[in-house]
Amino acid sequence: MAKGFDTNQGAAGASAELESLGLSMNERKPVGQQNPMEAAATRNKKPSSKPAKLGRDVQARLGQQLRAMYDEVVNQGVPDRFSELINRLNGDEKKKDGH
Amino acid sequence: MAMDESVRKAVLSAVPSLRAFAISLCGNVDRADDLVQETLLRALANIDSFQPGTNMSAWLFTILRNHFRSEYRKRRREVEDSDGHHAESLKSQPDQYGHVEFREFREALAQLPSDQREALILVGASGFSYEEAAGICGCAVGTIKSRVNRARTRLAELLHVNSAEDFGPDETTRAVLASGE
Repeated sequence: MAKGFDTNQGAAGASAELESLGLSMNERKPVGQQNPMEAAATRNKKPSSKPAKLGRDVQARLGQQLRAMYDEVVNQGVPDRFSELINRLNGDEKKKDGH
Repeated sequence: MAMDESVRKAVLSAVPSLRAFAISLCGNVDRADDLVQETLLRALANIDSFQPGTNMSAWLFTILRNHFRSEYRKRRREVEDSDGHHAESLKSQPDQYGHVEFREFREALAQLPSDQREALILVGASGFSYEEAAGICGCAVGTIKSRVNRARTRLAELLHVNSAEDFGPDETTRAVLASGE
């Protein structure tokens, strides 16, 4: 029975952890009498084994990394080769038109 | 015909993001810059077909993406016919982007199917709406949404993240999470 106590405490810890991520364990509360074996299986099931939607925190972090990587290039601005290309093409066209 | 000054400025200001997109597509800075150059030449040669008042960035991204699809993928198939090649080319050039800190992330990104990768970049990094991204990729809005979702899920799998804490100790993350609670 002492062992069962430990498990419960572990479940409570996991619950607090999930709640801090904005998730709730409510849906996993047993309804009525539950087979002890099933209950144990439910408790031992790790959240990661659920093919659930990504948490908002994970999405936010992935998005942050993605933008940081992308912005690293964006922040390099316009390389000379491209500003020169655009200006040269524009200049050529102007010469054709104007003179 | 000479470019309107506002058009010239719009093209110029789209270049940095266009480069970032090109690099994420082909995974190599030199090839990406060639791709951008070819895109600009095509765009400027056909500048009359740009409709003033519409999104210049989206127009250029569409040209670049189509050009990449038709030319670069064909060329790459001749050399190597796998997405793994893309990942490998990144591994061998860790300094291509300047910083090493995004390396793991870039490698995971490179392992995504190209459809998913481009959708994720367009929506998640380039700042296009789902509708604009659908226009650029020539597909339905729902298709873009599902590609973005699958890309995020796969990315999380590849990086072994189930919660933001799995990204490791990072003060920025903690600050973001703390402020979000």
